[in-house]
Amino acid sequence: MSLLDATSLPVLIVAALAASCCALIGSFLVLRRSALLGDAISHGILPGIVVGFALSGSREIVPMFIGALVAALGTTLLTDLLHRRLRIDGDAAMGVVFTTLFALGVVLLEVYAGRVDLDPGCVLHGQVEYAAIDPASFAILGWTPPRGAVTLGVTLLLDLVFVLLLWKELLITSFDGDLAHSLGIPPGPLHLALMGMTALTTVASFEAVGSILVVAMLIVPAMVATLLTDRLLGVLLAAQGVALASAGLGLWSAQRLDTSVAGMMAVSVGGLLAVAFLLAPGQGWLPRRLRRLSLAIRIAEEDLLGSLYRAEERQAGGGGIERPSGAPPHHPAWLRIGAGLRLRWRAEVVKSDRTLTLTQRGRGRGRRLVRRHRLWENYLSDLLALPASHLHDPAHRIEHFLDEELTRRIEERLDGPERDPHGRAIPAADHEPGEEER
Amino acid sequence: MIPVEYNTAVVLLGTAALGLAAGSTGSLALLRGRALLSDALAHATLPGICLAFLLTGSRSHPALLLGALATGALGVVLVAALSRRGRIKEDAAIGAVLACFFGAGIALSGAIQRRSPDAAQAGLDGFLLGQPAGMLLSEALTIAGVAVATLLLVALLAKEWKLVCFDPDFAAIEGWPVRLLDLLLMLLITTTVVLALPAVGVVLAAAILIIPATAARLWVDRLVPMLILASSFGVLASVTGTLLSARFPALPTGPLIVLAAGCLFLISLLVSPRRGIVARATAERRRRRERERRRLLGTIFTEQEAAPESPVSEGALARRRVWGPGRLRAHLEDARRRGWIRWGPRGIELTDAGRQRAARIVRASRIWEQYLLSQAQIDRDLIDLDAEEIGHLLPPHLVAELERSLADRGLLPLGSEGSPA
Repeated sequence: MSLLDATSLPVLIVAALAASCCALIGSFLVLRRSALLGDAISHGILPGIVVGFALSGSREIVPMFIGALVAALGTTLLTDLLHRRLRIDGDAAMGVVFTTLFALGVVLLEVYAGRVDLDPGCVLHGQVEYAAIDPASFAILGWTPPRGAVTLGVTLLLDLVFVLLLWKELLITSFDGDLAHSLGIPPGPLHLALMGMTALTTVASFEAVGSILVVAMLIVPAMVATLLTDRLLGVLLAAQGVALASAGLGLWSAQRLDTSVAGMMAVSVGGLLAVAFLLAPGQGWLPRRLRRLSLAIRIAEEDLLGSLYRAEERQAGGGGIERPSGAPPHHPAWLRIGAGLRLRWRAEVVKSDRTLTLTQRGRGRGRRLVRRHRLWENYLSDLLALPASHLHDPAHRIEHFLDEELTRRIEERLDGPERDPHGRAIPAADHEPGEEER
Repeated sequence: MIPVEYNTAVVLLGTAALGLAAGSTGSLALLRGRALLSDALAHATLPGICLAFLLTGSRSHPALLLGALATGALGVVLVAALSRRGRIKEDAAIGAVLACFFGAGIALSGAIQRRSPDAAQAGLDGFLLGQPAGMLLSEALTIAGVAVATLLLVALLAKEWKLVCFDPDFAAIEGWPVRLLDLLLMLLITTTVVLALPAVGVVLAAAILIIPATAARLWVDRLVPMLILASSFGVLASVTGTLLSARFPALPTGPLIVLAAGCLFLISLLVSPRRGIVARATAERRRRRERERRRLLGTIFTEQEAAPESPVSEGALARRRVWGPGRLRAHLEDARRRGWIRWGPRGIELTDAGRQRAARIVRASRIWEQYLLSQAQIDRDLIDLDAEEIGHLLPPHLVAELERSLADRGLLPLGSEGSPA
């Protein structure tokens, strides 16, 4: 079975449209840190939908939408009232309002059971499959689109218009509420407008993905996107990509496993979140770990080069007063061995007779490290007046992080000292003959 | 009392015990800021139920609830891991875990249903919105047992909870095992939520923790009374919901219990004597009226001060445009009833009591104004004060100094000398 055959294509279209418009509006919810307001609204609109349905007696979107909008505004305003005016903890206020409204909705569903053709289970988890075969009441060029696709397409269009019209306002309020306030962008009306769009999007999508799985489509694509990028446009585009991918993946896996498409869409988007959380280049767990590992290896390498350089200095007898260097580098054995192997592979040291010797290239790196270390000791001693016993440890830490430019400036500031506070010579910055730069 | 059948009695026992446990656990969860985490936990149990059914093929509650416990706990751990560091905020993590685990549960139950429709219909659908009608006596007794154990644990550690809920930093500094207590609390929440699943279902399980506790919080400020009140609300909501659904069998029990709890919350919100809407509105109105009275007396006093010979007429007060004619008349009548003014032959006169009171009011407001102008250097336009009891707010030597400077300019109201400073 292919995703693009005659039975699957409408389902894919409906699923993708639902995911797409949820992800668009949801991005703003996540960026504004009101992710759970999406959750609350998607639960809270149930009584509105049921009453709208019962009064109109049909599955037309307009009465359901009006009911849902009233309920969504009710959810938002009640939560706000409880939280702001009556000082009830924000989480609890939200929890009370949306669960009570949802329970009311379920009870109303049973009360109107004769008139409302909605199955409680279906309300919770949606039926993309049915939404896709229910035809619209009109045809375009002889093709009757699924009614769900029409509704969702119009919703997506409205969401897009909303985002484009209010782009600047949404951008500023999403990232810097205080700046928005000081620029005179009223937070209240914009918030309400966003809630209205959330309600519209939720109503349009709930038939396809159900009121709880709407939450997955609202907030998870945007969460993935914020792990991948820093810019609003980037977040919106990445969220769209994630939403479409999860629609495709969800349909494909649901067909394979013969189960609910909406459920598998939520699982897919959750899986994408897990992947992003582990692997996202900047924010992911593994890249962070790798960055820390590579830093640890670099420090171990540099410490090894530094101690070899100091040993050479002592043998040459040019190092001034002999003094055992303060704290020996504390690195675990595997890190020391790894650093040694890497240095040999990069031909910065060579091993012969079980002793390590610096090559020209390694000597240059070691010399620059020792130079940074001793200049910093001078800096601490001269400008911060630290006693000699307190110089080594900070210098040992910062020697790995000073770049050439900063080192040069420190040297200038200190009027180019020749010896460090312990009396040892500070190596020169320029190349020694035969040494090559890194 | 409605005559109760055996089945209903069993269900009543079960749901009431559940309400009892949920009220106290929910209070702790609420105070510790775990309210919505318990919602994510509840939704995250669904895949566990389905997996347990797939693995064991049994529909017995212990097996399914163990599965629920497993994935529920996994969900909580994932929320913590996702939001521990970096970009993802806790609320987004809660939403993501809630929705994705629920989706996994829906997918699993869909797969089960399409393979063996009868099994799913009977067993698993009930977990979505709860199906306590089929509760067995043994199950009800289990719930009751766990509820009693929960209550005991909560009661034994009441002091520790109090500290951890109201001042966790202090508790940590004092060397209390905050992490251990938090873990224990999470365990209590998980147990309660899992026990609630057969009765109120995955979607609303967290509600019976959150709502009674939030309602109780409106009435009391102390932990132990809150625990007692929340548990009572829990029991009351459970019993009401269960009896209603016994009366109207078409209506689902779980949502009815939640709705009953919601009504209790609404009632608390309206009538709670300290934080209720009615009480707040009354207090606000009383404050506003008191302020108006002060303003009226002060205005009459300054009018008379400006022109001691001519009496104060109602027209002169109306010309100040502070009150509309109707309001003004009502305020004047109120002041007369209180014995502060009387209608003299030529206009309004302050009685002795009224004059004393008015002098105090004017004195206080002028001292305030002077203080804010001279000491705090605040712009005159920003000052509008009518605090009468100025002596409580400023040190006496400062009041004396301010009074002197007022007297120098002839602004110290006469007749206010004896007032407490």
